[in-house]
Amino acid sequence: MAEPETGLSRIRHDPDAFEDFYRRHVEAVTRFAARRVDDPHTAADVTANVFLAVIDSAHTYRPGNGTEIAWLFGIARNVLAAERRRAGRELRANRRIVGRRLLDSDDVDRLVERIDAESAGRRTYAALADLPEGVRAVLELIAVDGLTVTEAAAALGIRPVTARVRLHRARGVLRDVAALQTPAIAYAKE
Amino acid sequence: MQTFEDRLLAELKHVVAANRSATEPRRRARRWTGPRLALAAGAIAAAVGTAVAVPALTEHEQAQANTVERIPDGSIMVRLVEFTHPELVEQKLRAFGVPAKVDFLRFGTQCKGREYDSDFWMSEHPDDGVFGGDPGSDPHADSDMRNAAGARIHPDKLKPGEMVVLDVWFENTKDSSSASVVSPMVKKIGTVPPCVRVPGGPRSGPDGVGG
Repeated sequence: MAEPETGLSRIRHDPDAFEDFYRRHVEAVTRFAARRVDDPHTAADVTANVFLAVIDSAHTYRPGNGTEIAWLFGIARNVLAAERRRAGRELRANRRIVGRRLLDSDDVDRLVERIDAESAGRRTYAALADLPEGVRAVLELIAVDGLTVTEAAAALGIRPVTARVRLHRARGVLRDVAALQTPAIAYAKE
Repeated sequence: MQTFEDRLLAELKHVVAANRSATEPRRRARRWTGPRLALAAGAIAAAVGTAVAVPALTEHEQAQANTVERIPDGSIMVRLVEFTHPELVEQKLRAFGVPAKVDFLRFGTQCKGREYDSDFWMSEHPDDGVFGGDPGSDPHADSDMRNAAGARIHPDKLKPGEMVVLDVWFENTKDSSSASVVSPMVKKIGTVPPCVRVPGGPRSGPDGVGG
């Protein structure tokens, strides 16, 4: 007999459970996208793809490993990375939902405003580009997305102590990068 | 007034609802036993995510078993129950005016340069309507193909020079063969090179169901 589904795993099959999850997090996901891309159509695609990935991955969430938002941002990072890897390939036709097709002109205006509002985060994100991947990933989630060290560690599937070590190294590396002298890094919460 | 977020939610809820539907035939497949296998012989295996077992056939029977036929709406239905002679399926499709490349693949392998995309059948407009149901039907599941290993092809949607590519993953057991994943694609320009098998693609689940 199949195990009864509990918690987030239900959102894969239960539209009502999914709607609850979606309404809790859709703004956070669109802001996540707006901190990384400067085009409303791409932001819409990323948002749609993150939630599609959430549906596929819901069974992997373990509350003991971190908060919902940390898990969600971990997925969002993977989606964005995959999006960029396949940017040159003609795969749009194979997607289940193409976010940009759901936009009307009001939505575009609203997303543009959101993208403008997140410009500081986007500058920080861009400034991290040349850092080693492990360090950059921790910094990105803390400085750009405002996660705690523990949440960033959960999002990346690493131990909090590892995240703290990377953050410590990053402070040294970034001493001369003015754009990254943010309170979020200086006073990163555990 | 509806916003992007509202419209996206509605689309995503369709996906979730389709997931729920898709799990139901999967459970039925697990329960099939000897007498039911015979009933399955003429049935269609699953397009996405469901395995249908068919009795083992002689080589001659296998070569004859796959069917390609035109159905009343003008589309071409490919039904696959054996997985040894892809070239015969290609020939039959060509007879209907559909240039095609068909490959039968073991789970855990895929053709280099033709990476598997599990999202295909969930697309709203997969390859401009070449595959799947008619426009206006449920965009998330073609009811005729939900329980079929094969594909429905609308040849009138193929543009000059385009070619249908069907990658089909199958599994043989002692008493039966089953296919559970078909990945249809349209090659836009030129021919499709022979399949160079590399690791990847879908894997067979514990119940023989690919995914």
